[in-house]
Amino acid sequence: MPGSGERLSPQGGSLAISPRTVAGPLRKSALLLAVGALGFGGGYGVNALWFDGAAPVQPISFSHKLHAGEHKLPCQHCHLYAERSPVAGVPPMSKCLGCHRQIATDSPEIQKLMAFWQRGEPVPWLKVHDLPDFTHFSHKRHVRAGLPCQSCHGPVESMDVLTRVAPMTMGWCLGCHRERAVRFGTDCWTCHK
Amino acid sequence: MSRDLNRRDFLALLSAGTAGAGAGFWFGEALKHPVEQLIPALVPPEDLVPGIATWYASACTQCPAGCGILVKNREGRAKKIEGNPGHPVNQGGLCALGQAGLNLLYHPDRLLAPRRRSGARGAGQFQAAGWDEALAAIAQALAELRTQGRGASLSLISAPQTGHLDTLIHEVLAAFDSTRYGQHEAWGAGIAPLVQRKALGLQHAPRHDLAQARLVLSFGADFLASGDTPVHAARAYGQMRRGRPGQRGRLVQIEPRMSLTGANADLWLPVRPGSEGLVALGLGRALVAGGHYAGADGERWAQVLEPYTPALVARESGLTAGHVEALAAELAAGPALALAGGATTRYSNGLGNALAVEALNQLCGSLDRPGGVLGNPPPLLPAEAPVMDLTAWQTLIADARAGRVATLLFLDCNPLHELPPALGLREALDAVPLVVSLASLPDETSRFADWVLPLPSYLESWGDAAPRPGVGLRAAALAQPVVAPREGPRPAGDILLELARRAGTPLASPDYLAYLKNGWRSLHARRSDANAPADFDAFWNAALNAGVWGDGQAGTESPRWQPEAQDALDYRPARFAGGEADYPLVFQPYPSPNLHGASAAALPWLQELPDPLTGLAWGSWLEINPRTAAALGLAMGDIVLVESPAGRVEAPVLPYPAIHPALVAMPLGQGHEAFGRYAAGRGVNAAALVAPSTVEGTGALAWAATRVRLVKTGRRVKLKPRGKHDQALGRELFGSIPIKEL
Ligand code: SF4
Repeated sequence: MPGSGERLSPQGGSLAISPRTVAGPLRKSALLLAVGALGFGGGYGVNALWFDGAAPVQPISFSHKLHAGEHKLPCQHCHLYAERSPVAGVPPMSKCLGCHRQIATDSPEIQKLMAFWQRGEPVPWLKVHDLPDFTHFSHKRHVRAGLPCQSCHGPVESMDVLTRVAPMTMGWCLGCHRERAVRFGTDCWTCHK
Repeated sequence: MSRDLNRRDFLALLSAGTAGAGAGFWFGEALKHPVEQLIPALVPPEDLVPGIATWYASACTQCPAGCGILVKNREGRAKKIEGNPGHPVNQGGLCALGQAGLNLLYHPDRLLAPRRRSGARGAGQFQAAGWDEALAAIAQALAELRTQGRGASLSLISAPQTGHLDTLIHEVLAAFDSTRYGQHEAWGAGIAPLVQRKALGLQHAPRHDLAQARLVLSFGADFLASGDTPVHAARAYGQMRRGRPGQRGRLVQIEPRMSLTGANADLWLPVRPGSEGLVALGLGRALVAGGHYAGADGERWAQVLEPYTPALVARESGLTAGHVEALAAELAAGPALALAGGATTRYSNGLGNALAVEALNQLCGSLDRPGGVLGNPPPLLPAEAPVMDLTAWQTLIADARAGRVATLLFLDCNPLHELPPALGLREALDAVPLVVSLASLPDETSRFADWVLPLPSYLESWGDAAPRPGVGLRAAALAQPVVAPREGPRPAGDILLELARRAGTPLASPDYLAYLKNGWRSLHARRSDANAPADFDAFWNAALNAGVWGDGQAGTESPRWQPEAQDALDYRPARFAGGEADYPLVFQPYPSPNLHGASAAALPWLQELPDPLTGLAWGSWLEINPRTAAALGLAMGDIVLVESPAGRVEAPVLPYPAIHPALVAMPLGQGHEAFGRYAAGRGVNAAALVAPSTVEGTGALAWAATRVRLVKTGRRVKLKPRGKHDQALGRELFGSIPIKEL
């Protein structure tokens, strides 16, 4: 407020400390804060846009495109339990070794795999698709209902690096349940037991 | 704002922007669901599917009841234990200890590697050692004993074994020329085996047919909480109460301290400690005098029972003559099942009490009839060794002191904590050159051992269990590992076989599983059940799947009253260690309903479980009648020094309305110095007060034959009983409005 300092003056004369001197640092702080907030927004945006975790860097760069796309391995060849259990199952190491004892043994990634195997350690894969613990999701029901894996997991057969394409939010689940008129598909207790 | 951006301001703005961007990025990261890992199996186990529970049938071996269990396994981890509905003992039920077995499996203080003592005995200092080293050292000592012809100086004391481990121990000891094998069970069956032989002529424990009883007269028998087979008894009790439409069995409990069973009774009669047998004799006299006894030897009975007049019974027991008459009338109206147990059989006059109670069964015609006392077939797997009584322990201790015990092996048992310290076992161990303890937790006995060999929990082991006492059927449960065993421990059977091999006297079986299978092969060969598969492998798989196999009722005994027992029927007042002038109160330790198994105190679920009668958890307390407490100026939580001629402990006072004014009581099971983080340093050991004397005429320890005095310490703690609903104190717990006022 320009000139307000004068009015506050007890004698109507000018103050010993000029208002500009007082307001100057304050404005500077405000500017700093504004730039900080801008930076915050930018940082958050960068994180959300390019670091959304939809395609985490796996310990071994396994390619679904190669296995499911080019070699046309059916999904359940490796994800053994999708049709009979709530979880699809990540293939046991022995399954990988079943082929890779012979195949591509000179590839550096396969050598990483062999190193894990020889140390008796499982490969610590990172989850790409993860639902919160308070939702009950069963692969078995969805697979037996004839839903192709790609409806939720996207075209994995064309992905070199597995990437999450669906938001996996409640609204997204319900959208599909509504569209397909799933019986009890919108009951709370169907997913939140 | 200054027009020119000077260097300082520029740097400040740059820092603010960078810090903001960093914070924003971090914020975005923090909002995200943490990235989880997907850990594949190396080689998938054949019968496990991730996401789906696999249930394995097995056996609970935490007490000799031998219940069948089903264990839920998810992704290789045991998650829940349930009763096996197909097992004739528990029929789907499970006690708290059975439920808490998971605590044993996942106990953070489990022993995982052999230990060799590095400090003084009892100091608890150990060094980790390899199996090879440990087994070599022990095997060498054992081989030396044998070559020197001193096999008899080797003793092995084991937890109760009701399966093939029992015969294996016997055979391994025989390979070392020793027969000194005993089983240790703290509270155990007491004098029951003697009474069943003496009074009823039975070889095997009788079966009390609670389920079909009309009236149950229990003299101190706490069958619902701490009996020999609590789950079976609880189920039968439920059947007795409301399993028969139109007929509700009645339960009368006669005991000076209300037990859990007493709390369930229709009528609870507190009698003076030690006079329970006299009440039974008085009731018997009333039956005979009233002409209700149909046997030919009525006159003889009348003679024997003549002295026990209602007046005498009333004077000695503290009941009124009216009580005695009313009870006699109830008895006369039809058959009743009389049971003796708990303190009744553990006073100095416990044998007399127990015989008097069996006499009552004879007089009201309950022997060998439904709803009464029935016989059992011989167990499918007979025991090789008796449970050690006080005399057996005293012999062992005397032998140890005299240098006649060179090596002492303790298998999965903790007598150093469970026996009264006044017995002197701890001191006697000093004279034993080699003490070895096979245990899964670092208990007190292991602290005094030279070698401690870690055992797996029962959920990781092969084994079997035949119920003891029997339940009318010849049955045995098969135990299998329900999870992959933790690395380090070795099963007891494997350790014993390996010791025999290293000492140069190998048994035929390479490992315990092979031994067990052989045992079951011979059970299969002797089977009387025509429906059992003829092929052994099919039979074994079927038994593993079901968790239990029963082989009919062949050779069931019949209880018959033994006339000689009549002569033993004389009432002698109970005697107590400590004179009444110095020690005015009678002391009764009792097995805690929650901590009744040997391993129970180490399990946090059981520590946390409030005692059903007092609502207390995680400690010890002294129960005292509120009137006695008031007379002594004691209030709830006052810590008193409890002194007996044998020892002293400190405990907070709990005024307990359902206890005879002349009695104080304390639960057993606490007061551990070791035994893992949940047990150590918690409460006091009630056994420390017990003077080691026998039940007269037997070798059994008289747990309830000591007197104590209380000394105030001036300190107090706040006891916090959970779920105290016994005192309404004028509060309207359930509000109601008369209909007119509506
Ligand atoms: S009664 Fe004994 S065998 Fe049965 S569940 Fe309880 S502890 Fe286990």
